[in-house]
Amino acid sequence: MLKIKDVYAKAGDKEILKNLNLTVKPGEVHAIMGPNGSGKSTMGNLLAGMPHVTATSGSVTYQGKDLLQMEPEDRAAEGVFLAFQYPVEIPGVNNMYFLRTAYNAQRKYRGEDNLDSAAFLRMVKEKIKQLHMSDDLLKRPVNVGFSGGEKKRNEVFQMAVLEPNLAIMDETDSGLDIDALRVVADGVNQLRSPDRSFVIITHYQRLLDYIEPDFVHVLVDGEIVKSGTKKLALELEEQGYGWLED
Amino acid sequence: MAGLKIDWLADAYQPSTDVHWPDWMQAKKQTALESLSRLPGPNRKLELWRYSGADRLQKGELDSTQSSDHEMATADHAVVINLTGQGVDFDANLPAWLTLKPIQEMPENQWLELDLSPTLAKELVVQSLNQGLFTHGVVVTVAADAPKHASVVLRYDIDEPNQWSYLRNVFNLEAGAEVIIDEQYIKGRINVVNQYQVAENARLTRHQHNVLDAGQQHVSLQYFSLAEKAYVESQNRHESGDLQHHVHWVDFTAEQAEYRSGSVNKAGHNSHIADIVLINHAFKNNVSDVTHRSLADDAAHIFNNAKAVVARGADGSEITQDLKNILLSEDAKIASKPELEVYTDEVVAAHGSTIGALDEQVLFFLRSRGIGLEQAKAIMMVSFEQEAIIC
Repeated sequence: MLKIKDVYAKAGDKEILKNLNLTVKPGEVHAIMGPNGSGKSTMGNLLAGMPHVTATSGSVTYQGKDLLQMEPEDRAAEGVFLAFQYPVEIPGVNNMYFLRTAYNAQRKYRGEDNLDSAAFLRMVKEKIKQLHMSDDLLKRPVNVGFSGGEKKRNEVFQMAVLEPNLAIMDETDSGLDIDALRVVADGVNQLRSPDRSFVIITHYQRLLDYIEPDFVHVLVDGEIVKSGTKKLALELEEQGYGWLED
Repeated sequence: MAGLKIDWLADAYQPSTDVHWPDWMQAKKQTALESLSRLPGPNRKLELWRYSGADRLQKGELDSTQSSDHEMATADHAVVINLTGQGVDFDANLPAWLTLKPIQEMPENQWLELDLSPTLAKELVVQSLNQGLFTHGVVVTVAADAPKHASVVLRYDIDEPNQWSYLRNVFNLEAGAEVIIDEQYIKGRINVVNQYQVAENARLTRHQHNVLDAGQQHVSLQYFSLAEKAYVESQNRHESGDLQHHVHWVDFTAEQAEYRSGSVNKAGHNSHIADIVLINHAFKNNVSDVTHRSLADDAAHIFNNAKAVVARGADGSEITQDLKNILLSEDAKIASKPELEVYTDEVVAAHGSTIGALDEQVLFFLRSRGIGLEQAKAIMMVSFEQEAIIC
């Protein structure tokens, strides 16, 4: 699904990722942990195509294609999804209009016909029901007046509608209480499938109690310094990151 | 700068109908022209013309065409008034709550003397020309028994594209009346002055729809007089055109009235748009709230100004000014000026102005969901404009 090889990347003028290597196969869930400033979010932003985050060397291959050569909207249409750490607000644009526009833009890229309004509405209502969310979300402007938990749930809802192959969750758990965390985790778990991979970026292992990863990687100073199973996350919870930074 | 009166008179369009002006009105017009002849023409030294091409006012030939795509629907309006090159046109079957007369039948006691200070007279010289040169218009009176959602549309539809047409209208809302008044520019080179007299407890909802083609020009002065507990909400859309210059002047004449306005200004190519709101809080406990959202692209210019003057003794006044602007190209220019002049102690006022580009984080978010760059920009611009839609 995804192969990151020997990547060095900068955000603005600052080099953040140094010799990053990671392979993700279809259906796998990989957790990325690490101290503040280690490059976790930069990795997610690089994969999604954020401007000003650029690879200076190395390669990223996604489903056999050179991901770094693709525009952000093309990466999305190819199935890459970034759940933002700080979801943005868009006043005056309701969720329904935004999602339908995004959904049909991706279909157009893939050479498929638009889904008409009625069919789209049926589809999203079904998804909302599966995620145990309220459908008044559709009428509200994107993230305006949403609590932190609601914004993160909206990210999961978007993921459910757009059905990516590779979902990158950037600190989805930050700012959430236990109940909100459970709801978000349930939503992610519902979307797990043999064809869909997840990269879960997180500081804390508690999210991983609810979203069981196949692999845990520790990013320190822009490079993965250790990989393991969920046990590694528990070790980090007990010992911190210091022993790895040395 | 001598010669202003002669230049403007020479260029003023004369409609084909004969109008008999009552003696008092003819005298008023003459007095206005004589005082204007002592004023310089509009130029960059004037605050209200500093950012707009005043020289465009005297262009000979305009490159203008009419596009019917800009027209608002009129089917829902109770009364449609067309101001054309031939005069005023409307359906003779008017509803009982509405009285409509041609401007020359206005009673003398309804004439609005724009009591301009010497400074303001110079600044508003273009709008003041209308005092002497208007050729036709209407006096509309709305009675208190007008039904909810009663609406009137005024359409400026003049075939002559190059000579200036001067129109003047008066709208009287009787005590307790409620009405929606829409103004729509269709075509012509138009200078219009509209007076809105809003009596106590009356409620006016007004929409100004000025979407011009690249070569067209439109200048206006909208004057609002609010009595006790009067309420005005005014929604303005100014798009494109070679030149648009609009002044909204508000006088509170008693207490506990409210004036709220939202403006969307969109200029591209070489367009110049000025959107100016001047509000006089001369009495206590009145509220004014002005929101502008402006977008300038290519080599366009926009000037946004919201000025509130709070007189001594006008305690309890509440003022909000929110001017936000986006530059879409390197050559576009926006000047944005919220102003507060406060001469009393107990006032609640907030003003702010920002100028920037489209938020890159939002742009990236939309693209990360599969929406292409141009469509993402368009969505963001709609989102931005929505903040100024108040009615």
